[in-house]
Amino acid sequence: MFCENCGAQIPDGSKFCTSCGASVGNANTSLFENAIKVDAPDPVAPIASPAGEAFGETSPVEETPVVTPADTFPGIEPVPSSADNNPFQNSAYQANTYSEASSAYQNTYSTVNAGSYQAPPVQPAPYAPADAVKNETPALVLGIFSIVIAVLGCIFFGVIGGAIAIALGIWGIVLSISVRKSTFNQKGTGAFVCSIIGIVLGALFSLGCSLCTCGTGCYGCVGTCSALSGTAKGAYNIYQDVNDIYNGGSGMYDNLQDLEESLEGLEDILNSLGD
Amino acid sequence: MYPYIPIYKEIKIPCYTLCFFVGFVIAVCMAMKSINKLPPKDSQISFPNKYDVLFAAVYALIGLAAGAKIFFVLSRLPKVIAHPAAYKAMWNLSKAAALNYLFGGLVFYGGLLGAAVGTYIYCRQYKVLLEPIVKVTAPLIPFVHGFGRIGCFLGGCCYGIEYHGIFSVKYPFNEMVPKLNEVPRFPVQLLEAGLNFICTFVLLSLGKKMDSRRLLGSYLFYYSVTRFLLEYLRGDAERGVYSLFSTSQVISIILFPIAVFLIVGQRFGLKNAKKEKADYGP
Repeated sequence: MFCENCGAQIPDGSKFCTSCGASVGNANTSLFENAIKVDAPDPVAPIASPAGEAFGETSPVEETPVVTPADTFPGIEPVPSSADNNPFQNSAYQANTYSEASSAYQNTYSTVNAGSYQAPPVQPAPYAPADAVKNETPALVLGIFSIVIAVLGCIFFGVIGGAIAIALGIWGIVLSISVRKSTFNQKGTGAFVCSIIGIVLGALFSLGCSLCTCGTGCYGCVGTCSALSGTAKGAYNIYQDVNDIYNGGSGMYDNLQDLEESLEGLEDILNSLGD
Repeated sequence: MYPYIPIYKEIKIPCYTLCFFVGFVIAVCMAMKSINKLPPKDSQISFPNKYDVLFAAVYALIGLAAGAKIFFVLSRLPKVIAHPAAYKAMWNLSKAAALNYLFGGLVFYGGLLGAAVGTYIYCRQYKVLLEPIVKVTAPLIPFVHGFGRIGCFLGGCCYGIEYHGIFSVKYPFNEMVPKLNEVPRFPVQLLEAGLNFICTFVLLSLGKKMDSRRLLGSYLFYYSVTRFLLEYLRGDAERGVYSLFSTSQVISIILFPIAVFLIVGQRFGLKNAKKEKADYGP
């Protein structure tokens, strides 16, 4: 048979001319003109989001626009843009957009190229406990309290103030981390920083060297109440006296039995001295 | 050496804590930078980003403090249980001294275990992949530990055996540890810090080829061997706790086969070694 558009000889039964591409029986259109006439939907626009940093530097959704199949394959229904359906305007839920785009891939390509294109597997959205945002204020309060108690509490209450400050600070940090994870690092920074400062100050001002092996006291002796630190200092002096009594001990930490005997001896001496 | 940096009257910064925190902060910054260099092959949304590394480090720090303290208490508990009357006498004499005996110290191995538990809890709670975090932080463990050893040297709480040769160190008088000043000593803490920094460099180079499991196994292999040998150069160790070996040597003996298993385990069916390499990173 012969093409009605260009007159070239084409095999019998073919639907399109192998020379000019015109469809047999339709002299005025070509394959590509048919394609252009189909309405092309808006491609899924890549969403620029400040929270996109939370997902690392690169993301395929941001850099490569979705190619609509209607550009090249006629007769395919256009895919509605999923960007308009995204209810989260601050685009914090970029993962949902990606998963919707990838399922758009699956819907469109599977009707044309069944089996020849493997859509990327739909990845789970990052775990972000949605109700954790309510922790924001408590976390900030805890952080500020831990700083206040670290400074004031250690002055007045010594080691105990520091321990409380550290406990509050740890609680505040855990809550602030949950806030930051659930809001993709938008909120909870203040609580995070305050809690860290509270813990550092609490450790610095009170526990301090007792974290290692110090027996000479803590830093609660700055202010009015130095009972605990004074006792610790006094205790070390007692150690040295006991060592002298025992006369040659290599350190009571090595031999508690010797300490027991030495302390009994010290008690006898103290009792014999009267009050 | 210089256990404290005095700031104002009685407020002093302990050098050990300061050195450790400086090392820790530097290590966390390095880890946060290098996590971005592990590009995920597919865009795995649960792949940790730099903030995940920061939060996991916070959890690890809490776990480290808790673990080190718990291990210390567990190491002192046998003595207290063996001599209850002596401990009661110490308690009556001075509650603070008795508390300090039982609670006033840290053990590195407990800290390491606690940090690992803290990181694991974070990854479970927020459903983040653990392997990339391990791959990034395993070379930095000896880095932080090296800083801690420098702090130990400055603090004077851990010191070496008596030694009169080259590089021997004469400590200034330290009221906490009177034995320190008596003789010149071998600077075993500085040696350990130097070895730790060399190990950091080696692990950072190996990390490009190895997966996280073998990287962690390499670190444990290095540390168990060196800690066991260097313990003989320490003058302050609690010998006699377990007849022949000190606490740290016993833990090193336990860790050594674990390290070997982590390194060669994939030949004996240890799962996921190949899958980790394929899933992400070069």
